[in-house]
Amino acid sequence: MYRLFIFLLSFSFCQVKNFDFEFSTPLEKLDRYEGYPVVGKFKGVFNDGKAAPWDFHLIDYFRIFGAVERARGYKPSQPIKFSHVVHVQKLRMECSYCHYTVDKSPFAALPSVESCMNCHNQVQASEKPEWDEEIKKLIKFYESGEQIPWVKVHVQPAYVKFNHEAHTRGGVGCHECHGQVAEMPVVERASSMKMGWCIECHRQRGASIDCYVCHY
Amino acid sequence: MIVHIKKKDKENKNFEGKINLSRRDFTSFLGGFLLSGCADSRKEIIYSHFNDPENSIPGNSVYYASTCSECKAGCGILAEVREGRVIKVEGNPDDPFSRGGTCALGQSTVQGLYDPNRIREPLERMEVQDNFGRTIVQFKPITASEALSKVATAIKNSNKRYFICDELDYLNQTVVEAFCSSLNFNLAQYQPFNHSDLQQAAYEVWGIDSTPSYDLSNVRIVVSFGAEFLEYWLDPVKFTKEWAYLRKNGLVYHYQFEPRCTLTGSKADNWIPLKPGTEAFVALALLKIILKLKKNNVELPLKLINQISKYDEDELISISGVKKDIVYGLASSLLVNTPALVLGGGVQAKGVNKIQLEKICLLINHCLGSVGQNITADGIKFRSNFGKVRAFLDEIQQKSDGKAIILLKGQFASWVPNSFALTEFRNMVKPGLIVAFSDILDDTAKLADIILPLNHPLESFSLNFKGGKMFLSQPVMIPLYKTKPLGEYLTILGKALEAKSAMFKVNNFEEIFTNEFTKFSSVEIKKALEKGVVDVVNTKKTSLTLRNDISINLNFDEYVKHGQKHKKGDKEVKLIPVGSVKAWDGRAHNRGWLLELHDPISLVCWESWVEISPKTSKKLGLKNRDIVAILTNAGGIECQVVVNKMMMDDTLAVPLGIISDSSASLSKLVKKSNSFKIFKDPETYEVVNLKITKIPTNKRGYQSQVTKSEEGRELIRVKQMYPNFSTVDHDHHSEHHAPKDLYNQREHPIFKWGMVVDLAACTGCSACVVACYAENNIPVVGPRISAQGRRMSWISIHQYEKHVGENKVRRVWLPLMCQQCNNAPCEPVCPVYATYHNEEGLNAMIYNRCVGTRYCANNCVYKVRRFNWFEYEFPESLKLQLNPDVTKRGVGVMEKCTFCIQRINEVKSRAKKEGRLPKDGEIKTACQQACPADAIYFGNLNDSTSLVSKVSNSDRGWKILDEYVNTKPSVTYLADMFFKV
Repeated sequence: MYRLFIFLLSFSFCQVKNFDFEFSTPLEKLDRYEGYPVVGKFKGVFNDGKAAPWDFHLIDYFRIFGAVERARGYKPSQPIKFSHVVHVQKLRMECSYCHYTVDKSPFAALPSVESCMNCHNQVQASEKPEWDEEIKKLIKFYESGEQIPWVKVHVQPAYVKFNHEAHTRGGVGCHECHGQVAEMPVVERASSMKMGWCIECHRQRGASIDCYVCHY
Repeated sequence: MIVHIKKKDKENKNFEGKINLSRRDFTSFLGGFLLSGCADSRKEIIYSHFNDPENSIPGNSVYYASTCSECKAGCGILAEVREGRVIKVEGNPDDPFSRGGTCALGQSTVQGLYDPNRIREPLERMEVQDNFGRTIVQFKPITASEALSKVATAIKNSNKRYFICDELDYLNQTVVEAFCSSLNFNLAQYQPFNHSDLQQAAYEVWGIDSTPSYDLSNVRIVVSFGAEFLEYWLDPVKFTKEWAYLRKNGLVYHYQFEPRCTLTGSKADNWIPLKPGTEAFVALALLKIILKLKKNNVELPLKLINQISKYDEDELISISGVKKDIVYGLASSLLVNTPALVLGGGVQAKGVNKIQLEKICLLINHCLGSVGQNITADGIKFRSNFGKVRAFLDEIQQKSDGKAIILLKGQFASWVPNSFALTEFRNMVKPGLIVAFSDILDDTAKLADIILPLNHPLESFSLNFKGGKMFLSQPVMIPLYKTKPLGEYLTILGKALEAKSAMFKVNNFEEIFTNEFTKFSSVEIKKALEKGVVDVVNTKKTSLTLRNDISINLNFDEYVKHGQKHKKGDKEVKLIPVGSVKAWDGRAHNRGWLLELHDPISLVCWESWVEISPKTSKKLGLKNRDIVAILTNAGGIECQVVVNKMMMDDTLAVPLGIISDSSASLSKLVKKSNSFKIFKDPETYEVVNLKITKIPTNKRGYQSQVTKSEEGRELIRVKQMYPNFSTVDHDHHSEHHAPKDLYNQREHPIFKWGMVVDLAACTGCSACVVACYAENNIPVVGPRISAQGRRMSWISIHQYEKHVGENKVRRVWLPLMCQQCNNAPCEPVCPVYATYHNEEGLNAMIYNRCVGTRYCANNCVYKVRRFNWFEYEFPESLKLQLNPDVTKRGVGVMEKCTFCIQRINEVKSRAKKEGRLPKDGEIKTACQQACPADAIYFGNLNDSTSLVSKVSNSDRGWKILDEYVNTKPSVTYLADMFFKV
């Protein structure tokens, strides 16, 4: 038994080592703007009491198995500390304003640098001086004509085809997979995206669970 | 194993801060560390666009209409662009001629664009000495302006100027001609597969300066003397479309005269072998018989009739070895069944009498009254002395004073026989500057001092004219490398040298295009950009009237000689060139899809071959798959023997275009067997002193099929019919009685996807195979693994030889893909449930479940499952072609045809968005889209009104091997048919 313990310990030790924690960010203090209707902090993420046995939720939560980048709570530091809290909660922007292809294409595209600058041409100062630094970073990207290397948070496992268009059309809210992004100063991975987790939702909604729907 | 840790163990005093770690503990530590290393811990970066490109949504395809530039036919294409890169080329349904069809060569266009051997910037030749004093040729990149200024000064200082070039589109052709005439360049154009002979014949008969264009859409009988009009003759895709429509409706009767059965010959109702080179004799005899039958009604000039009256038709027929009554019967049926068309030409008919043959065929059409209706004057245009290259090459190779300049475009190092020694003439002749315009770095480009890289046609603008229509080529993506179109280089040079032509009074090449393009109205310009094709309004119809000075002079020299030998009883073996759909003339020699595709006739891939009839092979002591050397006084090749039942005795057939280019990354893997090198002359393909000897080696050639017979089972069905579809003899197929199943019937609530393949229309052109490679990210495995039978193609063209009647063999092409069986033998044997039957009737294959036991492939009756024995790497540039909708499979995974599930899902998703079910014909699989003969149907079998379920209930329909093994396939084949008059 203790051998198993050693095994797991060494395993998880190696995993934790790779962690890229973002412990203290000034944005983290900010939780909610008044009047923003958020029901529960992680609604849609932990609403799955009936996990399939092959979906190691518990282990996944404690980050023992699998890559860190594929586990819940993965919270990488981004090139620009973009805050969804400010943009979604305070300014009430729709998700599909920036991720404009979410209902048109399999991919929910990121906004281009120019479309960020549509607003930030005017908005160059903010409530806090730390945030101004981030806007300056954006302007620097814009002036040098570079693309922003965002770090992907919700990375899909290999051999899976996911279609954003079909899911948004089917009435699946963004938060059901991505969590309450509006409440996250730093976006973190809210779902394991394992197959059992997908299938469960497909079962609940009566969607097809044929393999060929996603794997081809 | 000792690990230093701080541990206070009172009992073990000797321990002193060390513990003895047992082997098991150590392995458990090691296992933990190792396993954690297996985890896929990659940070993924996504770049947002800097600005959102117009008309482009990431993840959705945009289709741009353009024109294929692989051959002069120039079919309309739609280029599928995803995130700024072309991933596939499909036929354009708006093209009135090709109507959405493509050929294998056209499908492979994208591999030409992403060719790993593309030249990325202008290069200059450097000769450096290595440590051993040997000269090594290197190419050093220079800037385009530097290279062009060097070329311009060389042109200024030169006393002799040559330009040798291959086929060009209309716009580049006009620029090249203006450039050559204003700067005194001596221009020669050549391409091994060209139709300039036909243009010359048309000029001599009617005085027109283009090839005639043929319309097969309503003919009742088509006679072809060697013209492979379903493969590479003139406008093959258009002909296949029209021919297949007539064929399916039983309207056309097809005769083919040729020494070796081509794909076109295999589809003919009556394939008549004749001695090589005697097509013109039979055609002349046919003309004479028709004239005799139409006594009162003579349309030909008297002078010509007198001239041909000296030939005796019976003698002409006897030279060719054709039975007399066939030609007489044909003549009388040609007069009855109108409209009729007689086509002549082709690769096999290359020789001294080729132009005569084409002239005779045009005259026969004149007598039959099809000129004006089915033959019009608005065909493809060639330069007047296109193809006349022999004298030019002789002149280039004269010793010069080093002040000449030679501009090269085309693969002349491969195309020209060794006697011209083009590959060595750098050292021998020491000419002035050689400049090559080339898109890939091949042997010809390496002859040059300066290489100017060309754009791929998918990266540049151009125009083409055909059949009273204008075809637009537009750039569908920005150029990958620092390349320019040919016209632009010449415009810059012309401007620098102050050429007199009005063409060069513009700022750049784009302006030449704009001037030409804006001649059309703005409505038409918009239509051209959208559809790719517009009508040319002010075309004057050229009426085709016979010239008075037509003369026909057949050259009998060879056959007199042949006849004398014949008397001695020792027949001379004759070598003829043939074409192959996979290679054409080697214009696309570095494309993996085409190299790996097997030639449907010889079943050989990746190398060259020689075809011999069974009788002759016995005489020469050769067996199938033997390796032989063919030597002539021009050169020699080494290749494998293919014994071919359907060809004339005493004939060897060698494919042109299987080129091994030592500089190209893929075609250098082909065995050195360039068959252009064994012909003495690039115009007539004459062979002198032919010798064929077996090479004593243990090696054997590889052919993709072991046998072409059905081995006693009824695999293939062929029906002989009268044109009104009543069968000649009622064949007794075992009636399909519903066998008892152990399992319950499958239920398919909404969809049951099914396919129908019409073997009567399938010409074996292999466009579907290449389209499947392109759509489904199928890897190219190379010659060594191919020869182990491990090619990955999901659909392949199988060849079967079926005996119909006495001594008559009919070749049937069977496109075989996964049959998506309802009782699939592969499903129950899978231990991990990676393959199963889904509720839409598909036999699904899930890659991430597969553990590679390969039981399924062993149990598959049709042998259509492919296993990834290795991790096949795509070259960096070819990765841009990969279809993002389809998984790239890794090592140890089984794969097979999915009925293009990504396309099914895409259409289903689109239909759901609009709140409906997919319409019939909305889903098109890649093979179905590419098929020029519309032989493949796909759709929902549950819907009784859909085309596919109607067609699958045809009398000709049967399911392959179903009677023997009860697999219940979803694919129905329709029996091949041929007609009896």
